[in-house]
Amino acid sequence: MENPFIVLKDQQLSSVVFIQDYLQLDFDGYTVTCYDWPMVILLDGKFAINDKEYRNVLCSLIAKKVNEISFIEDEMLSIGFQSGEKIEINLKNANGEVIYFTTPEGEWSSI
Amino acid sequence: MSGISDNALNFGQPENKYKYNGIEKENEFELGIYDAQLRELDGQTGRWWQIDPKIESMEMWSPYASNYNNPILYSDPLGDEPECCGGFFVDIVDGFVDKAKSTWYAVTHPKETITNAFSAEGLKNNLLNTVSFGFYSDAKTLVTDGPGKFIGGKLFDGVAYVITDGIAKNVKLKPGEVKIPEVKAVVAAEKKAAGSTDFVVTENGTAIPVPNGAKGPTAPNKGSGMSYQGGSGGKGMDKKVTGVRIMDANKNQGKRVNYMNKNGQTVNPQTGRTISNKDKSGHIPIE
Repeated sequence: MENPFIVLKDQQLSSVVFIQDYLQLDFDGYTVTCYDWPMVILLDGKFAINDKEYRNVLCSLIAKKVNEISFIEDEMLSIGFQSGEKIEINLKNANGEVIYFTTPEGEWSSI
Repeated sequence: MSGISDNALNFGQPENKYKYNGIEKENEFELGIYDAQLRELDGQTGRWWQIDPKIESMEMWSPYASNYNNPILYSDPLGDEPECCGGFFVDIVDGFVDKAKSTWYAVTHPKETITNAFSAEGLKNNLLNTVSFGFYSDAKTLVTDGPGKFIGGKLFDGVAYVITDGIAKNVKLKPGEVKIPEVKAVVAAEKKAAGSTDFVVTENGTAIPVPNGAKGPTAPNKGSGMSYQGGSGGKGMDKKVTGVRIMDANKNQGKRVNYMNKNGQTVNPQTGRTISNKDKSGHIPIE
C-alpha cells in the first residue's frame, strides 16, 4: 500500500493526545502517533512546537474534517482539513520511526 | 497484625533472620522491621520508613514504595534502588530458548534429527524425546516432501511454531514459499487462543515475551517488523502492557522491541507506564 493514510480522508480529528514528548492524533479510531512534533498551518500562520500557542491551535482542529492527504515518502505527510488548515509532519532526516499509524481494524504502518 | 506476622509461625526454633529480600530482620520491640543498609523496611506494610535515598531515579513512584510494588520480580538489599532479577528477557525464558533451539535444529536438520532419533546414540541421549513431541512428523515431512512444502507446524499440544525467512516477511508467505536455506528465525508460539503466542524467538535465541493473549503476528501495511496486540501483561510485564512490536533495523536504529498499552502508547513493560520516546526501555535492542 503506497499511501496508508488515504483512509483518513473524510474522517474528523476526534482527539489530540500529548504523551510525554510525542503526540497522538486520533481520527475516530485511526490513530497517527507522531514521534516528531508536526507543524500546524492555519490560514494566518504556521505554528511549531516551541510556539506558545502551538497546543491551542493543534487542539482547535478537533472536530474538523480531513479532505486532503498528501504523503511523499521520506519527505512529508500532510493532512489537510476542509476549512483550509493543515498538519504537516516532516519525514526528512528522520532519526528513527516518525509515525506509527493504526486503524480500527488493527492494521498498522511504521514510517 | 499478628495474623500476618511470621511470629504466628514461630515455634521456638532458632530464627532465620535473613528472610525477605536478603536483609536481616530486626525484632527489637517486636517491630519486625528489615534493616537494610540505607533504610528500614516495614515488613508488614511493605513500605520503607524513610524516603528513597535515590528519589531522583524513581520519580514516578512514592519514595516509600518498595520494589515497585513487585517483590517477586525485584529485590532491594541496600534499600536504595530495586534491581530486577536478571535481564528482562533472560530469566523468565530460560528453557524455552533451548526448546526453540531444539525445534530450530530439528527443522533445519531434519535428516540428522530423524537419524539421531532412531540411532542407538539418539536413544541413549534421549534425543527421541526431544523430537517426539510433534515436530518429528514435521521433520519427516521435510525429508519426504522437500523443504519448499513446509512453513510451520505443531510442536506439541497447544504449541505451534512458524518458520520465517525474516522476522516480518513470513507473515504473508504461504506454505511452499519458504526455502529452508533462507530460514533465519523461528517463532515459537503457545496457542492459548488462535493467533496468540508466548514468546517470539529470534535466530540468535533471544526470546521476546509477548503479552498474554496478544494476537499476531501482523505485518505492517508500510514499514517493516511484526506486531502482537490485544493482550495483557504476563511474564513479568504489567497488565497495562497490551502489545509488542518487533521492529526491523532501519538506517538509524537496529532491531528493537517496543511495548505498548491499549492506546498504542509506548510503555515500560515492567511498570506499564508511558515513557518518553527517548527512553531506552521503549526501544529494547535485540540481536
